[in-house]
Amino acid sequence: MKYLRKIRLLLSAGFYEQISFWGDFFLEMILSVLSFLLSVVLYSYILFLAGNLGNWDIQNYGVLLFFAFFIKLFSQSFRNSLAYLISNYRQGNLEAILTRPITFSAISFFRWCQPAYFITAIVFAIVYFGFITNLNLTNIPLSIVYTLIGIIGTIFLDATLNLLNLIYQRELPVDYIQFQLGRLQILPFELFSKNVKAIAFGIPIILSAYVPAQILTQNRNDYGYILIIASILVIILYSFLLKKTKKVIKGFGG
Amino acid sequence: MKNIIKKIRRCIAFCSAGFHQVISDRNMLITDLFVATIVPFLIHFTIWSYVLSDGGSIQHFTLPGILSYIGLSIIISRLNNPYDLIYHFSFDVRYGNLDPKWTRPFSLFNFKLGEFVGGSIIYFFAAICIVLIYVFMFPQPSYYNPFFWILVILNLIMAQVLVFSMAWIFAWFSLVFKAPNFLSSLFALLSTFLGGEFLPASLWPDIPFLKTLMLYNPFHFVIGSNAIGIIEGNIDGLMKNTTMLVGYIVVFQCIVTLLRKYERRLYKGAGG
Repeated sequence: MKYLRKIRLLLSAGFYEQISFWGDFFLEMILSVLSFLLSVVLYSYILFLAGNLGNWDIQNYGVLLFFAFFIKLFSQSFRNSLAYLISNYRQGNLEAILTRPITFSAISFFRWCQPAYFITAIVFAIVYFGFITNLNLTNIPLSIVYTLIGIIGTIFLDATLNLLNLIYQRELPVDYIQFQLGRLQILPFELFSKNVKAIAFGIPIILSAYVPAQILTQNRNDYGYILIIASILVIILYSFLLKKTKKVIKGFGG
Repeated sequence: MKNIIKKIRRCIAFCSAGFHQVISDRNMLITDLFVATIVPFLIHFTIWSYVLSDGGSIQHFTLPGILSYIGLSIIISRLNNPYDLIYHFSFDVRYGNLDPKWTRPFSLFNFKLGEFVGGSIIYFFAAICIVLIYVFMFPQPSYYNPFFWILVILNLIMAQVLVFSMAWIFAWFSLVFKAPNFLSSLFALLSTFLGGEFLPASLWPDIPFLKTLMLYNPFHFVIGSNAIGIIEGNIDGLMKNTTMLVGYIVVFQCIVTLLRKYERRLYKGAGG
């Protein structure tokens, strides 16, 4: 209970920090909705040219696009938090942060997260699914579970790449790489070639939108196991690297 | 005469500053050249090879035609990516670094222009490489004409200047918003949708306003129209593209000069 309260405090601190540039945030949200609507228009036109994409018609494909949008927005909250931690480490401020009564992982995920993104993402989801009527209501819990697995996998992949940056003293642009990989979400997975399907075992973000959308619209779950395996692999890699990180970190006490 | 040589030297110095910045950030460069070009291309390859799987064509686009169009337009939009400009300018606005930069004995605008052009030299060579590969695979008669190549290079450089003027206007608005997220993502959204990186402009449905917007917006002349001109080996198309680019550059430069009068009034600094 105590732990939850600490996390809530961290989240609210992040929220106020983010909202202080409210004009920028508000317009950015409008813009992201606009880009979602434009991509719906664009892909429904491509579907109109093609007839269908795999097993997806225009109506179901909109749900897939929405899941991609939702997961992108949700995981954006946690995207920068570890990057800020690493920049603090490079400036020699890490010990001062680690003296706080919270674990390393909790600090690394929640101290610099931007909760306004996932709050708006949840609001958008409620509004969107209020309008969609032809869904299987019995499948909602399962699709929520898979969405959460996808989000957790995505966030941990971010964290893993950031830890790699820390250990090997690189500056890979993690958010940019994730943004580019995230663009693969919007395609139906069965269209990909075998090589890309093999890559999905290591990168959970590719399937994170497809699996819940397929459960919700088509009552099928063809690739859920790949998503689960990918997420577990990423989490194992993260915990392995975390152990290694604690040996690498050097400082003089802030 | 001395003055001109001095100015040219200055331009070269600005360009080399931008070039060295890009080179020194090697991780970003490699990510930009590989991940950011391969992933969008993979998406389009998957979609279009599914849509045109039976060897058919949409309008006059066949599968290799549309794929080479998309490859070229992706690399040209990489070439014209002003994210850094907007981001750094708004960073300067927020932390009060603009005053010391304005006191330098040359204009900040010219410096940023040189930096931007110098930073894209590497992508420029990547674009030329892709064009050359395409030329050897699908030769057209006009590829033997040196005038065509002069036009291609001229167009690519003018596109840079146009994109810079537009990006400067976006960066200027960070004096109002103080944060870069909205402005940089707006620019990215406009250039991907209006530039024709997703869909060639001529493939859009014949809704009057939409078609006009897609065919005559400035981003189309930077990305889509350039790519189509190169692929078809169409000298007339490239000439038309050049004139439109010149027109848009004049328009946007007028807006820039207007806006620059107000930048010192909007910026609140106490001397850095």
